[in-house]
Amino acid sequence: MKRIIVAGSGIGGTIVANRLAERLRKEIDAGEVEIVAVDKSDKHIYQPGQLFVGLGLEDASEIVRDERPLLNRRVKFVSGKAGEMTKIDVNEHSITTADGKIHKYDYLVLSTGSHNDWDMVPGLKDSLHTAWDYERAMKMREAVSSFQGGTAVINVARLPHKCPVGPLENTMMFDDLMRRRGLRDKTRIVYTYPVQGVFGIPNVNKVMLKLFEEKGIEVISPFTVKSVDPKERIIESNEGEKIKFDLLMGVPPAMGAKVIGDSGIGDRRNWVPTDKFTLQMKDHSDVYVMGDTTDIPISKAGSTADFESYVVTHNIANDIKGNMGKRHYDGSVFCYIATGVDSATYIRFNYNNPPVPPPPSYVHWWGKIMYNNAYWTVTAKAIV
Amino acid sequence: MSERKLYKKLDLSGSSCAGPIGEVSGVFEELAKGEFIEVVLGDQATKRDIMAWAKRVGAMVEEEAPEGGKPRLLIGRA
Repeated sequence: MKRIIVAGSGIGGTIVANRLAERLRKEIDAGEVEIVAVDKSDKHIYQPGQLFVGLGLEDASEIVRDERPLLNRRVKFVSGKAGEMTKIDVNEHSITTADGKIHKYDYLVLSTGSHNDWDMVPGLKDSLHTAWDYERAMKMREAVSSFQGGTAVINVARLPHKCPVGPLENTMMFDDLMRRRGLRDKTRIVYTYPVQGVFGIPNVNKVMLKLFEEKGIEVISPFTVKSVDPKERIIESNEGEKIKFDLLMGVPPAMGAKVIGDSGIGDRRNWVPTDKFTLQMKDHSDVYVMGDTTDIPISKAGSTADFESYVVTHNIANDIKGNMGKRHYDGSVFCYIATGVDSATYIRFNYNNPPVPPPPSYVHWWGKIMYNNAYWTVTAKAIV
Repeated sequence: MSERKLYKKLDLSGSSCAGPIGEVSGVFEELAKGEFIEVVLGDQATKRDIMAWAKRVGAMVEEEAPEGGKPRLLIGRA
């Protein structure tokens, strides 16, 4: 019996567990393979939907489902204390859970994700409205709906972070909402970013800068947030800028899961050293890493995890069944970018081919909505 | 920088949303004094951008022999 443990049941973990279960169904039914998905939560949040919640475009209840029904019936799922990982021992090929049990594995898929680090920037926790947290997204919705004009700052605290295009979307959708509510003339929108420009990829940066200019959105960059004064409502950067705000939105610093750090298998931000092509943990060929968990310089996004899931699934199936050859991840990413609340563009790229975003259109907006809606029935269940 | 401590090596020759400067800036913040990172870049234009960024933030930069024809830099915290 070969046991595959999928550590973490977010977007990446759920998709890969389902893909593996389908690919290895005969072996599972024959009792030769077991797939165990492990997560402390028995709920599944569609995190890309949190921005829609924060801007009042979607109800919070629409982006949460029970995890168990999302998983293939051949996948065993443990949650609560039994699913809360306290240690990952890649030398002993085991994980330990909070109920004290040690689970041995033959193959481990690390999909423990990225998490907010609220301690890095003083004052940020008490000031920031963010869609990068489910609970806070609901509070952000209240702040956005009660906003009556003034200075709104959208800040990206540090790079890299989850959903790289999210802050651009946050900014342009907020701009559109203010126009529709007749408040844009009374609203100054300022976008701040740690490096020059508004986005890291030159082609996309150029297109977005033009859109921001057309929409009258100010850009202050490089802006590396140093601290926030919640009382005076001032955000200050290492570069010496100070901005007084009425509404602060954006992305807090990100880091990998605590269990990665506690287990001593990550770097200083708890990202796991990963081969960018094989997606194997460096020096541990029985451990695959995917999604936000890796230290690969690529987008920390659900679509990245989805693309990676094909490679991880194929290579584990090959490890078990043999004679199928190894596949390499080519760096594929696909992300829609909302440029308002009824228009969008997209980026599709890989390691060797940078993206060229098409002009924003209603068609791409609907593509984004359709993609979001299809998540529960198609993407998460690894139907395609 | 040969006597200093290498923290990690980054292959930044492919496309990434944070971009080479974004990726480097994130890791640079984690460096202790005397540590450095080794980066492999996609082209000369990116190398120039990284060097300009390094000058602005006060990072030490040394150019090394290219790796597979790609520019390679050592970036450290003084």
